[in-house]
Amino acid sequence: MLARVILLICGFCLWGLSAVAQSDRVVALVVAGDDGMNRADAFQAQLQTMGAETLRAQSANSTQLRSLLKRFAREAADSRATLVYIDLPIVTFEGRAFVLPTGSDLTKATDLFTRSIPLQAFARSSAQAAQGGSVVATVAAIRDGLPADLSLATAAPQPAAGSSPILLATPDAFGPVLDVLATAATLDTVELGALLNAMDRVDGTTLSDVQPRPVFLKQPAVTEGNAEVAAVTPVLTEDASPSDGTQSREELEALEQSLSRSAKRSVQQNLRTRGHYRGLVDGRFGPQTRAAISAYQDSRSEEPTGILTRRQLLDLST
Amino acid sequence: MGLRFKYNLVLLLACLLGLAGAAGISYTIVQRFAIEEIKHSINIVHANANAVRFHTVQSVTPLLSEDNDILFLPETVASFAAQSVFAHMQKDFPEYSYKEAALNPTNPADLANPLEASMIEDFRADASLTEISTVVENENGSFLTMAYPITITQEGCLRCHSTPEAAPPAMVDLYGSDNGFGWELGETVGAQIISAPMSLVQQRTWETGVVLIAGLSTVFLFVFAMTNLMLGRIVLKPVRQMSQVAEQVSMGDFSVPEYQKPGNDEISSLTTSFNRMRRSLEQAMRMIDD
Ligand code: HEC
Repeated sequence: MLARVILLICGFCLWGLSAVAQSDRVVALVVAGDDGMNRADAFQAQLQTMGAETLRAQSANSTQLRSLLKRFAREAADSRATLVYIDLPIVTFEGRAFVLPTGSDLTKATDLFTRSIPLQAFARSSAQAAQGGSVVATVAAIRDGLPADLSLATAAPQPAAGSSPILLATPDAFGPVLDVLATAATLDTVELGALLNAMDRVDGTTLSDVQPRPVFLKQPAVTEGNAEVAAVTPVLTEDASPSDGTQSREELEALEQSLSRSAKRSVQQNLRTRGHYRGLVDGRFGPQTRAAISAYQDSRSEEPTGILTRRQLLDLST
Repeated sequence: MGLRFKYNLVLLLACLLGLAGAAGISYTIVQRFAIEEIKHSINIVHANANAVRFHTVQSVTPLLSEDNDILFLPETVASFAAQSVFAHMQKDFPEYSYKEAALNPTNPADLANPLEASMIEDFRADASLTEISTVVENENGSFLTMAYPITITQEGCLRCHSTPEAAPPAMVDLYGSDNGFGWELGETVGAQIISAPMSLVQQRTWETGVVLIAGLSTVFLFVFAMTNLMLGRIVLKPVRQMSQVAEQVSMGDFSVPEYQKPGNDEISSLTTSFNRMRRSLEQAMRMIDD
């Protein structure tokens, strides 16, 4: 547990890295079935008021929606923050949540694998944004019955590494949730974590853990730089604790996955500046990045594991 | 019991015996050929499935797996492709089935049933086994089921089937982290199970049987008709006439004309001998009268 808290704090601090190569776009994906069209329209209108570019999918079938999701992930990778709104039936099977696109009839539970889309896929694509994003979903009613072993989702799934937080709401909770969004839309600064927490206070909603780093859906133009410098300082004191040496590989992998896309880009940029990395600065840690990290670790006379320790991560962020 | 009756009785018995023998032999031969034919069609299904698998691994997976860390596309999986392509083929051949069964499958729908599991265990026990075939009876009739082992021969398979940590995260989102992992290189993890209906065998046997019996029966009928006709003309009619003449002659009535069957077969020479005997008898009688 302590390790987890430390990781979260660390992740929070590493948000400071996001200054590099940052786009200022906020993109949103709004997906609805036949029943949720009006709700989705209302939600989309608020997002547009906030200045988000919206991609809309109305009553798309499974294949269309998957294709659209990939497109959205590409756009998200070129944006500052994202928000996904889903208004479709969401069912749980073996503890995992699946979004049922329009026209996906299920005769048995395992049909889910090909006719539905894991809710996490939306969370992963929204996490592609430089700062991150989140998914807000209204669990629409299902028309026909469900096969055995399946039930409508009632709670937000546990957060997975590399994905963004998910807020799940019942159709009844939609009105108040929309009100929260509408109120936020009038403000100058909208921070996603705070917005989600406000939505979570509505009856009939559940929220998975919120990521530690702030994500701004709306952001005043300047003053960002100062905040970042301040943010890195507590990490150094944290770093002085003996826990650094004892961090397991799993913990370090989790830390790495908790980094935002832009933080990863910034690490790659730094490795590049130091002459270890010659690959694409794309925020994806592939074999070239691993080799560069190993080379960097080697240059510090530390064990070349290919996975950064917290200390190394911080050094690469300055 | 007339001669004709005896002859026909014997002929009929011989015919029935012949028909039974022919039917029996044709049954075994036709059955063997029909099973060969079903095996051949199963081999075609198998080759097609392997081609789909190969094509997917070669051309589709490398093309589409770039974004597997966000959204996993089952379409890039060879096993899924083979089974989905077959599902379309099944619309035209509803009685055929294709399944990639595994003891610890990624997709619970692929879990081996007890029969499949026992075949997989056979493959695991004997690495030299390349196929097993067996006949399965169920409520829909009987089926010929063939199994071919699936062995992990490529390192690449383990990317998705070794541990949940090594697998693409989006695949774990979809399939979960409980099933389909822990496979090892060289391990036989499952089998391709293909079955085809045996109704073809029964139909073939029935068809061939009917044609064979109908054909043989026609031949026998013809033989019956012809031999009966010949029997009447060559044997029965002359013998009957001869016996009529003999009857009258034996009563002392020599006025009846002689009967001579033309030709030189046994019956003809019999009439000749008989006539000669009648003439001798007539002379002897005349000498007594004198
Ligand atoms: C990209 C990841 C990936 C790779 C690489 C991969 N598989 Fe799979 N495999 C899967 C998934 C996902 C399924 C489940 C597909 C479905 O829904 O039917 C599966 C299913 C299977 C099945 C059917 C039984 C089951 O687990 O559901 C077999 C057999 C199989 N794979 C064998 C192989 C072999 C042999 C290789 C190497 C040539 C291989 N796989 C490579 C992901 C993969």
